[in-house]
Amino acid sequence: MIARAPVVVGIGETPLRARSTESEHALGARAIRAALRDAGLAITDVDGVVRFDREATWEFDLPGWGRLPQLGFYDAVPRGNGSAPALLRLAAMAVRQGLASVVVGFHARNAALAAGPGMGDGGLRGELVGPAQFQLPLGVGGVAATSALVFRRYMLRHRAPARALEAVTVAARRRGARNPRALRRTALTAAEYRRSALVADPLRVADVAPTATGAAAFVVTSVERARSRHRPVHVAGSMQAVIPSALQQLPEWFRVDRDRAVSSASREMFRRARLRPGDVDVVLVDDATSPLVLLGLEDHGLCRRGAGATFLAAAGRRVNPHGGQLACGDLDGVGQMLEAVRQLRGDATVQIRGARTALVAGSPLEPTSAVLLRA
Amino acid sequence: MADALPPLPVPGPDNVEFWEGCARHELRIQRCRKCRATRFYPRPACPDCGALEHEWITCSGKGTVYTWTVIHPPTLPAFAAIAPYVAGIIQLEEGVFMVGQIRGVASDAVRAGLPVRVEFDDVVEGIALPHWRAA
Repeated sequence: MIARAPVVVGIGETPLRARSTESEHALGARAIRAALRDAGLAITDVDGVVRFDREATWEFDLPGWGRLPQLGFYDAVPRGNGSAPALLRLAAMAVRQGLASVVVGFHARNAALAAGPGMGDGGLRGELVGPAQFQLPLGVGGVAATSALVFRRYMLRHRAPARALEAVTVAARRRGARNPRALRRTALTAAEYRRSALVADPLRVADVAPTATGAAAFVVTSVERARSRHRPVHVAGSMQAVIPSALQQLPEWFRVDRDRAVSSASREMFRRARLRPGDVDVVLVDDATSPLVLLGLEDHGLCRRGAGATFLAAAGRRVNPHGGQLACGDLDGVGQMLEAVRQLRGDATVQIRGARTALVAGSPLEPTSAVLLRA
Repeated sequence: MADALPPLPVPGPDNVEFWEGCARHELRIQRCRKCRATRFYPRPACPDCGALEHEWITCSGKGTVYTWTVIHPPTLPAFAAIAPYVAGIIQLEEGVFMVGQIRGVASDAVRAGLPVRVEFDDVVEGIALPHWRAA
């Protein structure tokens, strides 16, 4: 079983941009090829693939598909920031169980193909058949308004000030300013933050990660097969937790006891990995909007509930050291995993020295997931 | 001004009772016949005890503000004319939560616990949307 311990041996991505004329197919193919090259593997080595359920590129669209001897494992998780770490969890599970020996995971997105402003991706019409019909027709939709409603409740419960968001966003942009990969590459002063237009009070434009166009991919194999030039990054633990989607099921989202539904699963992840939250050197926590950072840190026991802002002020650059999605752009959460791998390899642009353990936490707004990675 | 219509719900077998109620300006929710728990949005099974047997009840239409935000442009075209507008989540007397716009109160005067009452916008034949007004 040790021999089949899953490790990330390759990562690849296209630059993340605001827009691109390339199709999601083309972007995906480039990221997959880059990840395999990074792993020192060929497409003919691949026998498993994982992706989001809504994805332009299907399994038989893999570059070089025709030369694959077999593709015996394929599966998908729901598309979105909550389930991005679950992609890696699924790949690791397949390797650990011996269902596949080399698994590629990927996601590609071209924002120009997404629907109108503020209302999220893809078929609005499709959403109106489901439970989102009880919020979108009323003028409540999209991650900004949803996060604002969630954060207002957080403010009431923990007596948190609205300016807690300013601290999250200004810190992210300060770190992003040192990262040439960032979409928003400039630092943001407190005064500039306060001049940023409100989108959904108290959230401002700067509190919402820009949607990125691009693709990212990773390769997971077993430690016995790993022979890439990079230090292999172990998938030491993972969790998933079903909660309602705030983007679709707000009335139900607020009924959830997060300690029972999410934090208990996170504690189990740490226990099985024989790690504690205090062992985490670098945290990649979903920041599709700034308040999600506080929720994510608290869900995973890095601090007690309501203490996210205090923790962040003390932890500084160990949280989203590359500037997070607020600076780098949001590729449905997948970019965060690649940054975690770079940190543990020791070749990140804004490197946390000696980082050995990373936590990647998906969005707390919807069915969520996390992975623990070890150098 | 067809483009100024909000996105319209697509009622299905599990929730048509709710939308037909709205069209009559009645706010209808489900109550489990086994454990008596009320629920919203509509679903075939009770989220608490799992029972399928349920009845529809008519709400008082009264509730209080649970959380809120002020939504600024850009929005969908249907909401551009009213933006910025207050929207939030209402806790109904019957215990369930509902989403909607909160009207009749200044955006800086909204607070948790503010009493509100339902009102209906007739948007097209057969579809009325429930919103909330400070009571």
